Amino acid sequence: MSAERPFRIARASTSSRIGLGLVGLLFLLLAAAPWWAGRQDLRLLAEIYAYIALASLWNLLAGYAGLVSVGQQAFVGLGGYALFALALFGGVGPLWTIPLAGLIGALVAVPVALLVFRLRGAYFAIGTWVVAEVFRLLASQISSLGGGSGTSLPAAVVTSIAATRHAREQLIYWVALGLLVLVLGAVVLLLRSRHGLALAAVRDDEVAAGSCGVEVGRAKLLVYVLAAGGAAMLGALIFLQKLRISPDAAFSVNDWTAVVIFIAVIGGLGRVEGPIIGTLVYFLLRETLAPYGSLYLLVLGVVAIAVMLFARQGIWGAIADRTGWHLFPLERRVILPARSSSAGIGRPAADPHRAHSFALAGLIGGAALVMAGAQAAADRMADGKGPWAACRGPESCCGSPAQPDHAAMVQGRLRPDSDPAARGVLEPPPPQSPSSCGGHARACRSPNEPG
Amino acid sequence: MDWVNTILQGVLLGGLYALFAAGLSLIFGVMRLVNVAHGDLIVLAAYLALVVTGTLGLDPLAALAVVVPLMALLGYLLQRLLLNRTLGDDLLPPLLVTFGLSVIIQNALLEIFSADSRRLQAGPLEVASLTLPGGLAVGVLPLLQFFLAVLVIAGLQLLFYRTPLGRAFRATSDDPAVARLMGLDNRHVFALAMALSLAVVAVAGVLLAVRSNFDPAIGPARLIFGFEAVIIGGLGSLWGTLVGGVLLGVAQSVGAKLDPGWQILAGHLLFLLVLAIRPEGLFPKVRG
Repeated sequence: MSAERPFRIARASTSSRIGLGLVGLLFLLLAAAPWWAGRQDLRLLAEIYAYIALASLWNLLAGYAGLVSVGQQAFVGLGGYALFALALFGGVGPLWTIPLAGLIGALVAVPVALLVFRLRGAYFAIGTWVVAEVFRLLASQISSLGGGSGTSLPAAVVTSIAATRHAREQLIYWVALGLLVLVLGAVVLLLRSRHGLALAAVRDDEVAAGSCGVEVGRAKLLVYVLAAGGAAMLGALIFLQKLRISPDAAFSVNDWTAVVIFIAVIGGLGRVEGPIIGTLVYFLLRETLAPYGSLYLLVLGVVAIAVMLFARQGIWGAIADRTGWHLFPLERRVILPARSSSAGIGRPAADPHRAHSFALAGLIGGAALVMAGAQAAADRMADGKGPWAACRGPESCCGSPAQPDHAAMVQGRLRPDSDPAARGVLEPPPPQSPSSCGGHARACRSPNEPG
Repeated sequence: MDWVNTILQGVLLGGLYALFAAGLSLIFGVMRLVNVAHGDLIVLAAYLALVVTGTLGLDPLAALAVVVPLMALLGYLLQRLLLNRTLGDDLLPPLLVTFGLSVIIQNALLEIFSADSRRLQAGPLEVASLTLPGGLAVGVLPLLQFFLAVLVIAGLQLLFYRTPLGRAFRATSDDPAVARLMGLDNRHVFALAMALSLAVVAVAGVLLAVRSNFDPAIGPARLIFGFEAVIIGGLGSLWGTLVGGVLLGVAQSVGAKLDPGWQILAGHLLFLLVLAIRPEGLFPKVRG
């Protein structure tokens, strides 16, 4: 980290600046939803937030840490049961049970991880599923919480949230939005940190990452515990909204894992934006196919298989690969001083298309806002698509037009040997200080990043 | 005597679990693929048997003659057309594709057959029993099922170690690249392995359908039982899988005897115990 190094690392790009701006605007708009949306829409929006958050956590597990868990329902259900147990027996205020549930989920995840981490790959997946089944069967043994048939939150507890139904629903909605921001923020901050680099290295090649000094086991444990805590908080929120819990609903593999996996895969694994897009696709499918029973699950399965076979990078992956857009400033790009910009790196300053792309971004963002505003008056069906329209802004927040250099500079695809000027500065420093670990891990990454 | 009876019933149940596990362990051994749709394929076979016995008026055991080849054909096509495309260094695609298949099969069965639970009638065989010395009565059907399971596993063992096809399976398992150099077509070998696995699944499905009620949602639990038997027995060992299935069956029936709510839980706890103490299983052959 010497001051006179001949390059700097940029994280934000034009698209991520515009993207963050639009995400901020969208947040304000959604925070104001209780004033422009109906009861049903608020419920639907809160459900969408919960799924985006769950899918983001699963994406962190599978897309970054290589932990393909089919057992996240264990922690969603644990969170739900923590809410009921704490509120009923502990007398804790229902909203306060949410952070407590997160804590419980994270604590329980540690011994669980010690067991399931003994299994590799697909066996790990089914092992986590067994753990979730054990939780479900144990929950159905708790007779004070209704055993196998479950129980409801008593009216006294419900009214302790807020006196009127309207106020209650508003409060729960804001908590849902807050949790989504918390989870997305935590994921982005984690990925921007040293641990994020270590995780990316682990994802690409566990052995190489280990040989570069990344503590693979610890990195995975960190992610597993975080994802469990997040899932437990979301579980508490989800069942606070439902007001009723049963073992089968709380530990449902279809609701809390199958759907979440499909969302993450369809949206794009290993991308923070993927789960957002995937969730919108899921709700669009679900709301349009609602009259046909469980057909949407079938269609979802087919779409997920098709994506896995033919477009492994998912929807956002396909968009990002073609355009270089990023909503969040996650990637690291090497910016060389003007001297070597002729070598083709760090050129973005001089680009005639830039002004156009700014104008286009403004236009599309504006259009998205107008459309989102128009949603306010729309009926429920239209509102099923509402969030889709509202989120068009960030999704299509075009920054600079496709710049091949940018694509090449996306961290991980930068090949040190492709440019003699770059090679000099990218040679990893000898491993002396912990602070060099990040750069180290990056340099060790294999160039063929899986899509 | 009560306990002897409990354990005996558990052993007989374990035969069925070993059958669930054998198909799973076979394809993992040959192509390192974990088929998450395995349990749902078992249920699919059960429904297929239901349709066959209903339309052709066949006895359930005679229906095997139709269901087994049909499922084997399905397995070959599934592998050739779909699953072969997912194999590679990345373990995510096969896992997610079979997970997708699992959800598709479940919901398709739900659409076609509804969520009602069904059962295959096996006639007088269902209630026939043998009285063992000591006054223990053992159902003929569970006994028959257990011996069928042992027979299938012995057959697989023979096939793997005594036939050219088994040699091809083992060669592809050891080193796919060299096996191809020797003139084996991996895609074909993999498809044959999946066909064989689904033939075993067909037997398991028919036996399940005769033994207990089934509905479209019970597949995942069968997958988990099979998986637990594989891990308890040790990866890659067929006889180990039989022992694993039997131990799981005994654990479940002992659990059920203590408290009906503890049946399945006791099996899971045994699995977690093995995982904690001896993660490579009791009779390991390959490391997963």
